[in-house]
Amino acid sequence: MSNGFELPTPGGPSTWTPIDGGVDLRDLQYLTLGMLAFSAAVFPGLRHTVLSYGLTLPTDPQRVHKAADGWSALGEGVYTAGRTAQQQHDTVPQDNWQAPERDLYGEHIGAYAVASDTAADSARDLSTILRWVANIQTVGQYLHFAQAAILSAITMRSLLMGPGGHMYGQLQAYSAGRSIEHGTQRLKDLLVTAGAGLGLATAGAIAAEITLTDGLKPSDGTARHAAAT
Amino acid sequence: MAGDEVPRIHHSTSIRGLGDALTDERDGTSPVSHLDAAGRLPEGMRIGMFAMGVLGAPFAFQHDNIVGYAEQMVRSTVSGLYEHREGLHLVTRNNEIAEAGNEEHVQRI
Repeated sequence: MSNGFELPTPGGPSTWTPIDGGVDLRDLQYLTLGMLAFSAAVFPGLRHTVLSYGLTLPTDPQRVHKAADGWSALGEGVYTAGRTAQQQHDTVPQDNWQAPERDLYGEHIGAYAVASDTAADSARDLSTILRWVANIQTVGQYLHFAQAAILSAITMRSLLMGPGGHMYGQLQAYSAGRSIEHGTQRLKDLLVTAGAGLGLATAGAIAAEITLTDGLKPSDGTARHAAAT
Repeated sequence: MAGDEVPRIHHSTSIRGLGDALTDERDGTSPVSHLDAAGRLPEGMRIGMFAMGVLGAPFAFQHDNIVGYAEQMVRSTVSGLYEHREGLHLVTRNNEIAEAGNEEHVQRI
């Protein structure tokens, strides 16, 4: 199921794999980083590009897809377990067991089934989100690769055939006349942006902890309570 | 038994069977075996700190935390189901003891 580019389809894993068949993107990433570094060696203005690309490494969409597979399997199993317990309870005829204990047990099993559904929903949500993340990462890696390929092609051309061309002029102008102070300032900006990004990601992770763990976190007690007589 | 306010009909075998069905592991269709299957998470389930890049590290870290929660949840639910089974068996045993006691009582009278 982990076949690289997959779009989440409600109600089942997708087998649609238009871009790659589970290729490990890491070689592509190091190649991209290498090409960017090569271009930056010639055009110093590109140095911050190398750094900011480096901060997205080492992504591995395959692993994320695998985790998404795991979550959807977990969701299925937990859901089925809850439903089976409920069915087993329901199939015992009324005549065979009539007592207050039965009602109590029925309540427990009902609560357990509800908790299972909640946990299964959370697991499915996680699976869907991870699929989107992995797909966005995959597309992003290819875009970065394309950008790096174009940049290094321009660099190569200017090295082999001498300076020239519209893009070369742009890059040249971009890199020329940058003072050390300017470069320091840009590095600072980059670090601030990266720091803000990390802070945002941390906040997002905390939010995910709160919103996406319904029924998955034992400490909320639902599953444990429901399952304990 | 007619005239009792609270009906008390116990069919010991089916109550005990209900408990056993919760945890039966023979044909893989009981709640416990479904949970066992669900709890056997694939090897790459923990994606590691940097599967989403350096900037995605908080997310990846959190994801692996949630995997840990889910594992705990499955484990505690399985043990909860075993407790249910014990509970149902206890109900059956208590009933049998009470019934035996009643019968003895009746015979003595």
